[in-house]
Amino acid sequence: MATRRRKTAPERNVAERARRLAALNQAALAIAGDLDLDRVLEKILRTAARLVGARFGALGIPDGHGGFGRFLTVGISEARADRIGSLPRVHGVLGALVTEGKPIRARDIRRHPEFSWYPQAHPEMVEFLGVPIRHRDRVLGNLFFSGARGGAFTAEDQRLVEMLAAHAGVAIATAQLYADAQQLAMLEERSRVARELHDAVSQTLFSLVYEARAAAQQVQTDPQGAAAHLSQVQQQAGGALEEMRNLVLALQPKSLERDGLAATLRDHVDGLRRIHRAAIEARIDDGDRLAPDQQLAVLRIAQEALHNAVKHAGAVPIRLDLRHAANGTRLVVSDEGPGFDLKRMVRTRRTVGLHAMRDRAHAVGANLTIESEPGGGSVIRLTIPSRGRRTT
Amino acid sequence: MTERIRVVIVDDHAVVRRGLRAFLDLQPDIEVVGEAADGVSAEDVCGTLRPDVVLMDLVMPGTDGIGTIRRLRQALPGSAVLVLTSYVDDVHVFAALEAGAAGYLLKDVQPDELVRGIRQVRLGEPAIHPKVAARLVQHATQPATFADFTPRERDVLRLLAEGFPNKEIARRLSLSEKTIKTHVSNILQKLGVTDRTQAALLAVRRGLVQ
Repeated sequence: MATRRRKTAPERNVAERARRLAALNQAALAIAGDLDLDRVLEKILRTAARLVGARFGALGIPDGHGGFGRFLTVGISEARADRIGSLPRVHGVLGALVTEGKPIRARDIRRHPEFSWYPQAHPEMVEFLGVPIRHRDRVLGNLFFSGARGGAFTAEDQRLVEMLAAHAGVAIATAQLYADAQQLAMLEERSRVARELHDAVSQTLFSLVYEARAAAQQVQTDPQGAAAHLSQVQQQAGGALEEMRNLVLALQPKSLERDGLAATLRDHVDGLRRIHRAAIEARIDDGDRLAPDQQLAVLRIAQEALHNAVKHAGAVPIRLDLRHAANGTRLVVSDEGPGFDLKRMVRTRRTVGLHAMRDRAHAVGANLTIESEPGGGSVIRLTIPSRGRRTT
Repeated sequence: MTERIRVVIVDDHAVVRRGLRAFLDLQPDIEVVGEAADGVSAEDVCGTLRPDVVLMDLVMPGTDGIGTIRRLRQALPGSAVLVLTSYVDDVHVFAALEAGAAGYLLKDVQPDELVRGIRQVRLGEPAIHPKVAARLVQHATQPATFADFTPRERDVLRLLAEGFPNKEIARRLSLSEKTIKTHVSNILQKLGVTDRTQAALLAVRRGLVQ
């Protein structure tokens, strides 16, 4: 820009601050809208590295056994990581970050009292900026950088990284809470199964013991009475067997071929409600006017749409509506979550899933539309026109 | 004494009543005089029949088993209540005995032991299943200590002892109310009490919270 006058130093400073704040804000928003911890942490790491002008950066979460359970890096190629070999342990400078919970900023980290040496193939890092990641009073990990493009890390760099580390702390704590909640739901699911087993079968088995004992007691004195009890034993044992079979069948996931689309979809919705505590409101028409390939497409598309909604929309209500009419079948899955802009999304499992849904719809002569905008929830609509007579 | 022990069976599973009756009716000193499928009809049936022993499950639909025991004991001090159930957790055990049950057997008890239990409670002696007895002994000798609670349970117990309702505890710990409910019921079980007031008192008395 030759025609533009050169900016004064204070102006550059203000512009730079504004840029940093905007980046910080963007990272915070991205974190709030995402439940995938690895992606969130990577975003935080990359943003921080960019803002402080670091060539190398890493984010580590100790596993509690002297190593790192999660270790993300920027600036280290996979080939280089392979040559370095094992991940760092939680000792030396990195250990001090975790145990003392205080930031470390140094012009030459190799002079730090806790520094020992770099492993072979490890870049010879000199400047160092490391901050602990904490949530409330617990240190959850650390975030550290080297290779300062400006020659050294400043106090402002440190403040910036501390702010991002605070976001990382919240994200890690939230993910742990979420994992706890899921584990709890899994345990509840297990106790539900145990309860059903108890109600269905163990009562009958208990009774069998007594009935059999009655028969044994009578076998000498009253053979006819004993025979009557034995016939009860036989009947009840048969009943228990049948109950057991039904229970196992009921506990099995529903299958499209055996139970039909409506039952399979309802079963899937129930599962999501129980396991993820998802608030799904479902209205599913019985009957099937669809050919098997169409049924399978509807099921898979509904599952993918629900999966996305549960994962990205968080705790907001999700609606699923499946209706059959004379002119065709319509499936709508909507949520009031944060929404997205499909055209501007980078390639992730989610966008791949969205495109796969569309392809699947086209393959069975159906049409799929995805409506969403950031902040406006999302609606996925599938319409399958009647093929005339049902072909099976 | 040739008089037979008159027994009423209370269980929501018809199949259980049937099996018990088939066996008990064969015992020379026992007579099954009636049956009931829930707490309310149990009180009715026992009020009319005045049995010597009420053999009852604790957990039945629409029934507060503990309340039923308490009311039966009040209305019919001459009828001994013998619990026969599948639940061996502290909450049920202690509450049932506190409410006046004379015995507590589990639904894996062998027929002969059941008969012995019925005879014992008829004579005013307790009949306690070995597993239940083990719990009682453990409870008497090793009351729950701080180390028995997870860090999260300690948080919940502390707030519970301060008198906060679940909703407020949930808010303060940023957890769902349902999660708090689960923690509270685990805490009650570990302390062997039936309600949060008892839990709070016990926690303070034992120094589990400040």
